[in-house]
Amino acid sequence: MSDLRGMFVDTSICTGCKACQVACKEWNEMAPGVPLPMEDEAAVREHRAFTGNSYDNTSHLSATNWRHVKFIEQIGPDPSSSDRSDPRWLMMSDSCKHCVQAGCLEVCPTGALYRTEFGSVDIHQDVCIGCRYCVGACPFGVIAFNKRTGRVNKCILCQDRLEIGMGTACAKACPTSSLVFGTVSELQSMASDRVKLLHSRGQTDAYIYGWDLGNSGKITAGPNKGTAVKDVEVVGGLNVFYLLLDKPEVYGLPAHASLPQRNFVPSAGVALISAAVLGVTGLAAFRRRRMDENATAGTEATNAN
Amino acid sequence: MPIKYVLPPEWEWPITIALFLAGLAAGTYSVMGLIHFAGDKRDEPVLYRLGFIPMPIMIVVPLLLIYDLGQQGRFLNLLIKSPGAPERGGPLMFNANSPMNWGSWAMVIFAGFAALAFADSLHQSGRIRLGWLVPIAHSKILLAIGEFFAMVVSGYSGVLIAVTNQGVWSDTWLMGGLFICFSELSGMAVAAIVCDRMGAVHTAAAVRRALFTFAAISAVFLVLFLGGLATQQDGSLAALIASLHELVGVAFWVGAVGLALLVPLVMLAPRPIVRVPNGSLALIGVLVLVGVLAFRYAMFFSAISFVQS
Repeated sequence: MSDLRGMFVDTSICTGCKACQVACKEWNEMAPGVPLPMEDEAAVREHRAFTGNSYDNTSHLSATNWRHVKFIEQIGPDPSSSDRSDPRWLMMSDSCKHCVQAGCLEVCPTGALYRTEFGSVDIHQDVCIGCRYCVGACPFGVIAFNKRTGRVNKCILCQDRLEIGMGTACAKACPTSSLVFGTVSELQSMASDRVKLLHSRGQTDAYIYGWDLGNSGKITAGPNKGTAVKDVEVVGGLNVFYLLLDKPEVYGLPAHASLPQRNFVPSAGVALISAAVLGVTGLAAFRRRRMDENATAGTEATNAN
Repeated sequence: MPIKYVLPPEWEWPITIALFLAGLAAGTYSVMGLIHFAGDKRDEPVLYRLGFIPMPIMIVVPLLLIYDLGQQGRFLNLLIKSPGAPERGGPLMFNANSPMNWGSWAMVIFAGFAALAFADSLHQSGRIRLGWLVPIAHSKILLAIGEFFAMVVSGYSGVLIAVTNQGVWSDTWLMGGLFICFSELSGMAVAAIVCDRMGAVHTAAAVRRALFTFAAISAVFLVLFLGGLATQQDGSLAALIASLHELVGVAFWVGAVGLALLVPLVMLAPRPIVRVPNGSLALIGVLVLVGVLAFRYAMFFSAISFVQS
């Protein structure tokens, strides 16, 4: 298990420089892509569309943006009031979490999504048929359909770099060590130490999203000030996990992500029950006709007598 | 609501039509099974006419799926492992955790039973002599197995969309049951049309009763589905309602609720609520089919529509 590789994303020191996004695009030779949403087609063609969301120009993860830096502006304790005395700006570099129990991998009908020797979740592009089932199954909205290739794409934790002993391109480019690449066990230890350090310095809102390392705290600023937070283990653990300073929902992360397979057996069971009910009632409809005929014949015979 | 965090799978109209047609073929085959097991000699003309329906449909279904996927080989890789697949272990592709694999294999096996029914109908019509086939085609055990696979084809797409993280779809366990109900409803609607066109009064009596019963069961499932969403704390019913706008809303309320359920419930009630003119069974059947297609459309696009809204 010590060979498992992952990343620790410390949002407390992310400056939103987007070097990770650029490094990801460059290393993986991805097309520039277009800002989303794409209502203004002319603007999209000229790469000058605005998302209307802070300094965010790619809006969310997509087939050509495997990494996305989120900008979360919290202006004052109440966003609806004009009080702008206590602003804060949260930033987070987001990507595939390479879940220990990956829903996308579980539902893939062709084996295109697979677990690498490093514990990450990679996609064999030659094997992907573009059925898009994994897109709906991912609880984080990470995997995206690439209309140009007819296949899906997501962060593959720089598998080609890992195979030759290098780390991920994004972590290499990060100027503040907000993104750290390493073995998951080392990263967990580093994350726990970091949370403790922040807590000792009064930043008591720091906690880990992805693994439950036993930390807990209280949000110190923004609209959720005073809300208790604690480490969250998500879908059996995330190989790419985060240090957050506010509720997961604030960062666009689900507080209770779950595997799609939770519904398989119950849903199939209900389907079987409904099939049985329909079968029995259908048979009864045909049988009852015969009974009605027999009753009619009996009545006619009685009348004849 | 956690449902906003996921991306829509971007399934489009070929998928909706393909799964509607697969359900229609499976539903029709199921009705044939009911006639085999509980019908009599007088139902045979309808039975053999119905036998012509499932197989041609099951030829169209993979064509639509191939059109959606873009390449023929991609569809085959649902069944046969791609040479590049990393985890070898046999030439066939089957991931027990993926309802899509279950459904793909069920459709292939069901297509075999549909072909058998087609050949039997050809023989019974006197167009081709295939006497040796009759004992096989009428074997109760084989018919029961065929019925099982027809049911799997009817319902697997409901289970498939429940096994995701999409809002509405994954918030209920009833999706598979609901899809089976509407597939069987469409099969019985086809039987109603065939009975009406053939003037098969005897079979029509049972089909009318079954169509009413299936509509009633489907209505109960739909109410349970909506009720189940309403009891969830994450606002799933609100998500569904929010997604039911424009064409999706029309498809749900007018198509699924109005045409597929209310039409047979009102017009085929044991004590008629409205006076139904003779020869209207085919019309009811057509309306139900349109309603079932609308149901498929509304269900597929409700979650997608919500995520995109």
